[in-house]
Amino acid sequence: MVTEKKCPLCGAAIHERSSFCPYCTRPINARKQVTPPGHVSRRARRCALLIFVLLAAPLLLWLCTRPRVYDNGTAEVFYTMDGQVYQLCIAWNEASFTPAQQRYTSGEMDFPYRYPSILYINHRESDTHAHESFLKQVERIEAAFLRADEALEISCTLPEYRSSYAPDAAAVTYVDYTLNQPGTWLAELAFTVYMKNGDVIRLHQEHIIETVPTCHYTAEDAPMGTIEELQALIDEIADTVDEAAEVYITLPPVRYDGNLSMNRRSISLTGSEDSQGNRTTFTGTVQLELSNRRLVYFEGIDFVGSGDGVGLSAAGRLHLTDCRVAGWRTGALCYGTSWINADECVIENNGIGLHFNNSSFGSISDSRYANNIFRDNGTAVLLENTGTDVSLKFNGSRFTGNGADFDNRCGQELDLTGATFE
Amino acid sequence: MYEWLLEILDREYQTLRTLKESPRGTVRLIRHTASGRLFILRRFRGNGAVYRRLLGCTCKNLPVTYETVERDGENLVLEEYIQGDTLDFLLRGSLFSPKETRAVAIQLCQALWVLHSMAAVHRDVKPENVILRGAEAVLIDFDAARLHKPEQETDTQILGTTGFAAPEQYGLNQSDTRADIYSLGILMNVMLTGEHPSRKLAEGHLGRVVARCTQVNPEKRYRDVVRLMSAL
Repeated sequence: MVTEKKCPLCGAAIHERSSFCPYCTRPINARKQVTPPGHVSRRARRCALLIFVLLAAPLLLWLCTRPRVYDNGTAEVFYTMDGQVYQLCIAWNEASFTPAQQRYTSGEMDFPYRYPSILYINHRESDTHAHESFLKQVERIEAAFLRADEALEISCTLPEYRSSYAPDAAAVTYVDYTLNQPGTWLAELAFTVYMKNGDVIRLHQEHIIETVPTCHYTAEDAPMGTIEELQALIDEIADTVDEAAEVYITLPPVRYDGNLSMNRRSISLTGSEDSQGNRTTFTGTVQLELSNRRLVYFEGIDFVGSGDGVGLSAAGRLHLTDCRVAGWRTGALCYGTSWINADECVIENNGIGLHFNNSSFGSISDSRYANNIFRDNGTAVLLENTGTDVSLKFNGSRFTGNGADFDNRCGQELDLTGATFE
Repeated sequence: MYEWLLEILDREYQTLRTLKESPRGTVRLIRHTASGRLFILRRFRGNGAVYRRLLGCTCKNLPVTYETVERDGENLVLEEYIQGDTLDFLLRGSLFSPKETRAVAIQLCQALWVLHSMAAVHRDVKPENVILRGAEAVLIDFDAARLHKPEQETDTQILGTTGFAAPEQYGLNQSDTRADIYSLGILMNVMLTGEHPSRKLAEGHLGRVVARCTQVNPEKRYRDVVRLMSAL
């Protein structure tokens, strides 16, 4: 699946995604000269201060009485008000004092995506959040994309204070985007803060969004009626499909007897249902052993055991939607650097429904377990080791007939708001 | 693309020597046969996301990353060869003056600023990873670097799926950027005194800067490298 393009400098045939021509040894991608904040020596500062006092002070006094625009083209502006210096910056949540000049993300073509971008206002001297006092002097805050590549449909919501998401931030805007073409695309977001005194403060953040190629397989493209055929297809995809691509297989509504192993690349599986209500079903263990951090999605599939074994064994990051996991000693196990999420799933009649035993910190891919049914399990959720301090949320999930709903051995924080226990 | 690049490197480039070899991977000095240009080729297992981000930018205090490809967790990175001596080598013969130390530290702050602004943490700032190219200090080796994007999106509607970085996957916190500040403080002290600050702290203003950089509690260190630059 290698596609080629010509090096614009020497004409050699190179890979479509090359950033560099290995034949003429010259870079061919667009590069930005990154200029860190300037540094001025103490002596120079003293000289500048002297000149300022002698020559520029009257002019500055005059200028200070007029509304000003603070815009240095970066994600950080320092603004002085009532003798206090404030740092305004677009930053990551939990890294709220470090401006994030660039933001990287990726997505598949023609899918809508959303993510937040956050404005922080801090006291420079004390390194504390200062949005509460500062916002009293703010008339309004707006956000907009000043420019965006044509292949990118991108917009953002009106910035608002969001106490539940980023309580220390001044405002959060949600960025919505859809990619229309393959490639890497740029857009420039600007937060504009309009002060009551007429001053305008503008901050900029560059958004770099890369299109992920996708491949879809159905029963019309390749034989997948038996577990052997499906295993062969998964192995063939690992050998032949571009490693950057996201791969989806839509499975027929058949019963797969035997174990399935996915250990070389991430492939998402979507089940289907025939007119008699038969769904795609696995009766053997489905095992993920993936070294990368990509998410694997299983949707609309039943994993049905005979009382023993492990239904889903994940050393990888797995997200289940509308799946049924039933009749196993352990329904779904995640271990190593891995994570399992489930929503809209039925997890029933297992010794243990979900078993978390991660050894690695930071594997979590999503904290939500919404609208699941945990029914008649010995233990619905066993939390042995999760490797995260993020609260797991079970909003809309129903626990019924389980020997124990939770066996929380690692003291994992849980949010059971909206969960029901019968 | 991995195989494609590997095949061209085998055909068009010569390995001059292996600079580093570990269970995790190798670092080799290679030469483009036709032009004679030198490059560094890194092959390692792990996360190459920081190198991918560096593809889009240049900074005089960081080596240029020309190409990076990944296959099943195996990474190939082709980067600029920096001609010069490592601080480690230079420190074997002598110490640095406060003025020289300050100049190097400010440039390393600028390199770290670029990484931190990309939500990356170097995590291995040490004399072996700093090359002096004339008056320029260049920070190298991002094999240990990690993204520290700790954002959570739990109250955000997620439409569609990227298959890549869900916001909660990074469990690290802001103190990680300050781990680089800690290491830089140690490095400054070694440049000035040849010793770890716990054994011999540098004197004067730079000693006070080192002391703050190397506070055990990250909250007590400089909040970011811009503030450290101001202090320097």
